[in-house]
Amino acid sequence: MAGARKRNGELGITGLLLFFAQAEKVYTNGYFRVKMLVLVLVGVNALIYQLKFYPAMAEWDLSESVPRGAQVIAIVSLAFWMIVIACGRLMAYEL
Amino acid sequence: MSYDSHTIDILRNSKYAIPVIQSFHLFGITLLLGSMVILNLRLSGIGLRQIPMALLAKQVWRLAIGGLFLAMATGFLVFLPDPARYAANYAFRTKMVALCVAVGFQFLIYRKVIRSGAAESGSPHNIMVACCSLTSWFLVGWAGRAIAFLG
Repeated sequence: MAGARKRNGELGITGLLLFFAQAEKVYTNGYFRVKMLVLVLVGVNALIYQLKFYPAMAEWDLSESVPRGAQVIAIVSLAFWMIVIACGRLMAYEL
Repeated sequence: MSYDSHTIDILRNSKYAIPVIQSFHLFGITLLLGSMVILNLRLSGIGLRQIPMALLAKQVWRLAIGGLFLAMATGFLVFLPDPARYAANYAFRTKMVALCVAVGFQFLIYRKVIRSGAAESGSPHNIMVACCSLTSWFLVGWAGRAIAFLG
């Protein structure tokens, strides 16, 4: 988890720098807006996990079955991050 | 597969085909580089010390190789419609050489190291192997990013 925070920190800082360099061009880009929105949703998703599933994690961690809700959060997280990557790539194609 | 093939025309003319394929290229790279960071953090002894290397290596290696195959397959599809343009690009040529070095190191040396019993410790030898692995893969990544900027 600490590694993920560091990576997200690096992504956030370089993202901020990229934004400062070309804010006008990027602000009106539809794909950029979707990307930012989905990033907020990623945060909400993580928050739900932290509040609802993390406290009881020690119980289901060592058993073979992960709670259904946690599985949903995991799949949603993967889907959201793929959308973020795709939107980031597609930003260059809208102009 | 001739230069005028119908399939390649679809790739060339569709507005979204190449960006979508490039996105899958990025998913593959994510899987590969993420796995490499995790394996090398463990190998060098810097992080994830409580997880036995034998356990980690077996499962993460599969993800890494899956990501590599996805990246190579989609990369080929991006290259196919416009080979002349990429062949003339210095960053692309560097990337292909770096890719050969990285894959060679990965399968000839790295694979044996993480499966050996010596992989549990963060010895200087393991740190060296970890550095080589990370450097070689990130060189491929940076060269790939440079393609768009070197014409």
